[in-house]
Amino acid sequence: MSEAEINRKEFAVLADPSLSDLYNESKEENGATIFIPNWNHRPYLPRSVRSAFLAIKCLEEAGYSGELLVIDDASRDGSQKFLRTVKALYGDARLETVFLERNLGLPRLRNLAMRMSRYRHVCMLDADNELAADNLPLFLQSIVQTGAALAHGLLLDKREGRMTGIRSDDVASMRLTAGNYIDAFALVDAKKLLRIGGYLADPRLPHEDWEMVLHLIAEEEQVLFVPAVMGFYHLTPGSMYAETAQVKGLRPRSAAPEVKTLLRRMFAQTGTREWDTIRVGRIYHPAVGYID
Amino acid sequence: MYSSPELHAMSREDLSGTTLLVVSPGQCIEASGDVPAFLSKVTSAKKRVLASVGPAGSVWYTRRLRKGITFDAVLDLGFASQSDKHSTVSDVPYFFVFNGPTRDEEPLAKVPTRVQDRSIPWVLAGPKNDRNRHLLAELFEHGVDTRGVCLLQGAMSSKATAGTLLGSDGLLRVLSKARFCLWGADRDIAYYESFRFIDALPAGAVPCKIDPELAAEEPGIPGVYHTVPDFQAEVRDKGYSAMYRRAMEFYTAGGRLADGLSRALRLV
Repeated sequence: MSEAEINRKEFAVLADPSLSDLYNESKEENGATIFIPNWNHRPYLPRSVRSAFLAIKCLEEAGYSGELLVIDDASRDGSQKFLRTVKALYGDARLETVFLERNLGLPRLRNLAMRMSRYRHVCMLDADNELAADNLPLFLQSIVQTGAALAHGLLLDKREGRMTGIRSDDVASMRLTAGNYIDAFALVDAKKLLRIGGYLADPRLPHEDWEMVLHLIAEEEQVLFVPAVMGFYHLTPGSMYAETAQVKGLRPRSAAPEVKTLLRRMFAQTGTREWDTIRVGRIYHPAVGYID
Repeated sequence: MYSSPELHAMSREDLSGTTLLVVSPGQCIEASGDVPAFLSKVTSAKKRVLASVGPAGSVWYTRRLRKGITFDAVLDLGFASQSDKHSTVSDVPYFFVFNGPTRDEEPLAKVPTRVQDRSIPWVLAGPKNDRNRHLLAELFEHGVDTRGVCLLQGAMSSKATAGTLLGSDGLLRVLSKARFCLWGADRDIAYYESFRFIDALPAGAVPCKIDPELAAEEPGIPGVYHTVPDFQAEVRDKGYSAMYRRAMEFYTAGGRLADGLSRALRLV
């Protein structure tokens, strides 16, 4: 992208609060947009950006294409400077950056990314996390072949360089009405998610990712578990996880009682579905097909 | 094959000439409906043999022997005798039976399929426990091909879990596209889960267990490694096809399960 184009986009964001100038209505199908939302995560951006570039290379090797979209949510830590430097250094890289003047918050940022994305499928990569680059083609293949709305895989927890746990490692079932175990770090079909209203930006519900999975299930959209590693979830002091933990409780499954009550009011009114072990998600691998 | 109510319905005369091979003593007793009457019927059988596929000497093993049925023998189905471990916890006569091929598995492919047709580099199978989670982390820390598949199963007993991750043939279908089937220790005790080997090999995946405690015991079973780098070294040095052939030779050399069972039952 030329300097003029960058300026035009930045100007558009700064000047037009509706942001609609940035929307890309016609999505390409043969690739993926990797989206990194950033708010004051400058120290972690090199790692997530690097993994995204590697993943784009892997997509290209597998016959797909890809882009990296980073939207900075009005950071104050100089993230913008870092991102401009990356853009200058990697002129050929498929990197789109948007710098917001006003903080929108994560759900609105995710919705903006889905509206802006060049590709129909968007990988939600938090700024402090890292993609398992080799595996993104596997997830893209899976979501394309099945027409699922969301494909998730295993995330390996990393603390101080050591792997300490696994998350997002189970297929969607109605247990999700009792607690969330599918992280936002997933590949989504932007068209489908936008069609059903996108991520919910409701201050009463800080778990927009949890609400989205339940919403997809309620809308009878397919939630796909691909039993491979999608990426690494870094648990570092001050990282997005730590913030999330502070705001939302240690893990989403230990969400505040009022949040649980609200989600149950929305998706489990009878109060029995959390005990319903019926799967609503599917398990898929491109080499095998549906496994369940 | 009889359930405990069916056994309970049998006459004492019929049972008096019968050897009972009991697989799950606890479940049998629990499902019988009338424990004293059921145990009395079991006692009237000619012989009672516990069929075991698990680590001898473990708490779980000992508990099965002390559920209320007096056993005349234990038949241990596996790949390595555990008579020394058994003798530390029980005086019941012990017979090791090699868990070899069955008629359903034959003919077994002596030559593996082309490695190019196996696009999944490895499958990590087993229970969702800390050891297997740790093994997955180690695979990534040591830089194995990241495109492997992880099929760790949640606890089946809990109401709050979705039960088994896959349907009955799901694992086999994945294994039929995989080169290696990996797993770590199920429990604290050193033991080789022969049933995982039997799932993997007929599907063409080479069974590989990474378990330092078991490897230290040198069980004489191919594909047991101290560490992930040991596994990687063997894959690098020998390769999939040679490792498959070696596993197949081991499996067929031990003899058929039916023959082993007949021999053992004659000795009981």
